[in-house]
Amino acid sequence: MDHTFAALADPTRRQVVELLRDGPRRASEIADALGMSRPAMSRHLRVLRTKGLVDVETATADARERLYQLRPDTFVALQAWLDQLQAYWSEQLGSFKKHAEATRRGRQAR
Amino acid sequence: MTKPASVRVTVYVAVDPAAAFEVFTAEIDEWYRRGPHNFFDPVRAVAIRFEPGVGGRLLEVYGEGKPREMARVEVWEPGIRLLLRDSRDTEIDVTFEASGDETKVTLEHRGLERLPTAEAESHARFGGRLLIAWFSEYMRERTSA
Repeated sequence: MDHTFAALADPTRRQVVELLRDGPRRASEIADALGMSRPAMSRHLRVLRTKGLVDVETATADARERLYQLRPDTFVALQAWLDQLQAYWSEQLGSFKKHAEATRRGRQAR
Repeated sequence: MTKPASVRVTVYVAVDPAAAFEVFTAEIDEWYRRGPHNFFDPVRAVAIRFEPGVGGRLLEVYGEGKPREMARVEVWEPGIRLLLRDSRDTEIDVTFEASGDETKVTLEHRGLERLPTAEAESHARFGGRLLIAWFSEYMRERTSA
């Protein structure tokens, strides 16, 4: 998890992830889409790969043709984290409801 | 390019909107769930409270020393709406809406995409303040596809 967030600290890498949501892309396509040089993009892709956010489809022998794609397991973990925030607010609002009904309803009835 | 991210929770409370707003704000210390992750400094925190009105603060209060500002009030409309902006620039928007004999209270925590990743990471241990974003949409798309 920590690795994931570290990898996403960089806005370019977040944009790469956004782009890959639409499907696998070649490194050159990613670089072009973000208006970045290929060597610079290649460094970002390496970080995303080592941190486990994307992986590479190595179906073709030609390295230039390799497709980058998101690793779903990582995103499941991130979603779980977001779900935790939702659960936190659900718990707080549930407690709020209980307190409001316990105190206000009684008062209205009197 | 980053998509907006938020979480949203709704509850129906069997009181009128004015009472719901009052309980939410004036009595937050009575309903806010304690827990190791629900305070910034859970060891020292003794209370949580609102300063009413626009510009007021949501404070975490300590036994001694200055309270800590957790968020600032941007909209304060009793019985209607409360909008907070926290120190990380995320927004907590709470609306109160009459619904029959009840009040529909909707809390939306948004702007999560603005949370710098380093902050998100350091807050991962605070159950409530964690987050990061656009993934929810991503996952919805994946699961509905």
